[in-house]
Amino acid sequence: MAEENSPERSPLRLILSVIFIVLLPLVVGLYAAPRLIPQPKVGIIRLSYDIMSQTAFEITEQLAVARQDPSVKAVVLLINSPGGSAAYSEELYLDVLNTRLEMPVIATVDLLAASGAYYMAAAADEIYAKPTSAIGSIGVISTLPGDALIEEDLLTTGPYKAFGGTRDGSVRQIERAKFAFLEAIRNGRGDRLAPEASDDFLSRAEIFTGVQALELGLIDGLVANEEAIRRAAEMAGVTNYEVVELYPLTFGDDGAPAYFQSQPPPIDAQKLWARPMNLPPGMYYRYIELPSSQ
Amino acid sequence: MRKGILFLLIFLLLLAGPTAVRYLNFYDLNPAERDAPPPYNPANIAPVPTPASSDFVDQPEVGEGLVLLDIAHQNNFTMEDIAYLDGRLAARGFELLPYEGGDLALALRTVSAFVVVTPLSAFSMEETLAVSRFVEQGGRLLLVGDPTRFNIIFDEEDFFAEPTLETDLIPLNSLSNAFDIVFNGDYLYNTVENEGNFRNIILRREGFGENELVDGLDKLAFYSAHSLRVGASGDALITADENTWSSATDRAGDLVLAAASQDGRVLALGDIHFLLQPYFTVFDNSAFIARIADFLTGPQERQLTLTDFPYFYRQPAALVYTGAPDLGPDAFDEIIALQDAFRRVDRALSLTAVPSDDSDVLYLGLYNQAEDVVDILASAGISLTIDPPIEIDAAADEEVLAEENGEEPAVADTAVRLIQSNLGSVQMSGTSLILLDEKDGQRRVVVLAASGEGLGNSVNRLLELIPLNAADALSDCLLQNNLALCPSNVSDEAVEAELDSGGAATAPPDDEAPPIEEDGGGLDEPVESGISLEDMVLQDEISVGQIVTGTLAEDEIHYWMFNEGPATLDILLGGVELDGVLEIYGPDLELLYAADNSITGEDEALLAIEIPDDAAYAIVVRDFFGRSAEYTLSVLPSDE
Repeated sequence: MAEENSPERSPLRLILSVIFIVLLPLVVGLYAAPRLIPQPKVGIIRLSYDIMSQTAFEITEQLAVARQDPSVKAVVLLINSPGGSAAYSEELYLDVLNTRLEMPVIATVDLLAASGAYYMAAAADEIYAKPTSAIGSIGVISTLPGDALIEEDLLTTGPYKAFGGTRDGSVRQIERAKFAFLEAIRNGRGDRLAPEASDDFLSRAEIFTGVQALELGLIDGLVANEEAIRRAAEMAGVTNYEVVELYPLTFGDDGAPAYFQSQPPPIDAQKLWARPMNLPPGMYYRYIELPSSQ
Repeated sequence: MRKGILFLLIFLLLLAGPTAVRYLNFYDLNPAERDAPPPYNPANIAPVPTPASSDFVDQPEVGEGLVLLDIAHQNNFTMEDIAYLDGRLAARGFELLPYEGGDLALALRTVSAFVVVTPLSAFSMEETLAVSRFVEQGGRLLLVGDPTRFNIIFDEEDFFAEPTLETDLIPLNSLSNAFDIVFNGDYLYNTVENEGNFRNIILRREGFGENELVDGLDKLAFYSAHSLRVGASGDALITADENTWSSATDRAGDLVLAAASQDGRVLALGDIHFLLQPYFTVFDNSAFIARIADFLTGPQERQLTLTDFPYFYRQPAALVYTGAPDLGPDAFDEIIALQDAFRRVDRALSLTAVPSDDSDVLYLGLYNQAEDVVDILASAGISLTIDPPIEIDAAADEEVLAEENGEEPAVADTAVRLIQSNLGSVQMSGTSLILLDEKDGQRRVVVLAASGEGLGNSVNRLLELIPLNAADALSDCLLQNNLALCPSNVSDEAVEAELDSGGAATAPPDDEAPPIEEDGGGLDEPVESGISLEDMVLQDEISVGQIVTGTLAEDEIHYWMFNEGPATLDILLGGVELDGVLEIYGPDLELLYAADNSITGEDEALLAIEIPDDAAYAIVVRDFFGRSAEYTLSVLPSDE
């Protein structure tokens, strides 16, 4: 019994003590740490080509994932787009504003951020581009309804049921949409816009180079995408982060169509600048180059 | 106890350590601060107001006339586009006459103004010259361009070829250059203040020139407009404000949207849309359009020329024989031929002894019976000298005496029979005078000759002025301003005392009238009444109830003989490609009846006409344009 009450610890006890006091918490700590503190992510969302229903759906889904995934600490919008549908552009603008409530959103432009694409970008915390990126075309494009005629065999319950409205009324609606566009830009950019970037000037709808856009305060810097990502991480307060494409995270679940599994292919500049065919009626925040002529 | 606490601390440290280390590895303890996104409320954007429309009421002065509208140069507009302007012209009694091509100089003879809207194909050198001359002579010219009215031409054979752009610039400038006005290849825009869109330019009084076209107007709106470059001899009519820019130069200021020539005869506008509904209701646009209509229909400054005969006559014109002679069959032939010619150009000519003050007049007469027109001649610097005077009765006695002796009537060697004008002095004998004069809005043409035959030849000259050969008709005349001295084509022409037009007293009795024979014998001689069967082709004899067919060669005239009078007939002429003219001549080759409704493919009909005598009558058939055509001629007993 004397030996049993010896102050000297038995090796077994020592081993058990080390296991329970050191190894166990360490193992548990090491196990729990990645789960408690996952490596923060900077999510990449690509806006490529036209803003139409499909692109708007994909991007809003990715933004939702970013907001729901606690490891996603910042979002970088990588833009190559001539804009598109006015309503979907506005949807993206509002969704980016929502996301900004939870994490920084940085927009970075490769080739083109025109019209609705810039509209969306204006909602981001900061916008970056390359010196010769094409940025601007701030305005609305739309066809006008035909002249209101009545037909003997086509009966409507209102004078504009078959036309939507008067041509003159549509002109004023389009102009009002332009003012809303300008307001969105001013709202997003605030006092970063240069004094010369007045509404009158911006509504000329010019496309600027990245350098010009920087002078006008339409963007915040001329940096590579990597730097834009780093800036997003910095704004999010993360120093060691993983850059992830949100596209496969969003659409990679089982049962998703196969074409959702891969990232968008590299940008096809021809397709990017191409004039759209058969645009349905409606308002567009889109750059459309008229056919050239001799 | 302390040991236990120590163990617990170690336990917790090791438990939380990896998490802490991980956090410190991933996160910055002093992250950058971010601004919250600003609230966005697009519903606060104010609607774009609809502009006020003016309460303008047009109160035009009603006149009469034609305005030529160019549709021959791929003009990119519809009549609906200019319906309001057309309405304003109609309210002034003016009609738009389309110019679909052909001789523009000829088409301009009939009109007070020429309107050219967004042409896309070029004007020829001849057309450009014709328009310049038209304006020089006082005609008004309205040129309307628009930057939205272009046409893109794709090469159907080469799919990859670049498309070609057709604009209104070259066609418009080919006309406007002569008046120191140039349409620029741009559009104007204003992003500071506009009428609902950057390309809808608001124009204010401060930018209006001193011109009655814009005098008193307050505000206009143009909807996508070219700018105009105005030279020293042009006047800027409407200039945009300093916030209006040109797309071509991307410069602002001093951009002209409407210009006039200094003489006020040319008006150039850079926009068509302000003429359209609903834009003409905006601001003072409707009043401005009314002013444009006034410009096109305003007091005639146009310097009329003889080659405009008879297009310058207003309805109805009066035909007056000077000296009130007794009129006989020859005069009737002249009258009928003139009336027929006037009718073909949609004008009326009525014989009268004394014209009313407000009607235009065609005077015909001899130099010796020119008292009625002395004042008109004097106003043109023309005097007639007949010394010694030819007394009508004495001259008749002399003629009778001379005829009895088989001699020519004697004329004293010292007799003076001269026409004196700024062309010099010209013998009346062998010379006919044609003068156009306008006074107090009354247009008068005086035709004088030395003899009845010379007068008939001069009338034929007038008739030749009507169709397309106006230049040829006076080519052998001394022509200056509106005076023509022409050869009368009568050899050894005597200055007759009194017009003898084959009156009743001198007309041969019926039984002495030259018969029209079936073989045309005796009818080959030219007849002074204006018709000659010499150049016509006799077909056959035609009877009552007979229907015949024929084929006219180009420039060919057929005549059919009818010998079954007296009778009451319905004579019908038809042919698909035929713009038929049907005429019935009596035994003396006097024109009895004529029908010409001037529409190709429609039948000509002379219904219930009386053929009074059992004599030879000629039924003449021709195409109005001298074209080759097949026809059917029916001579039927009339039911009436």
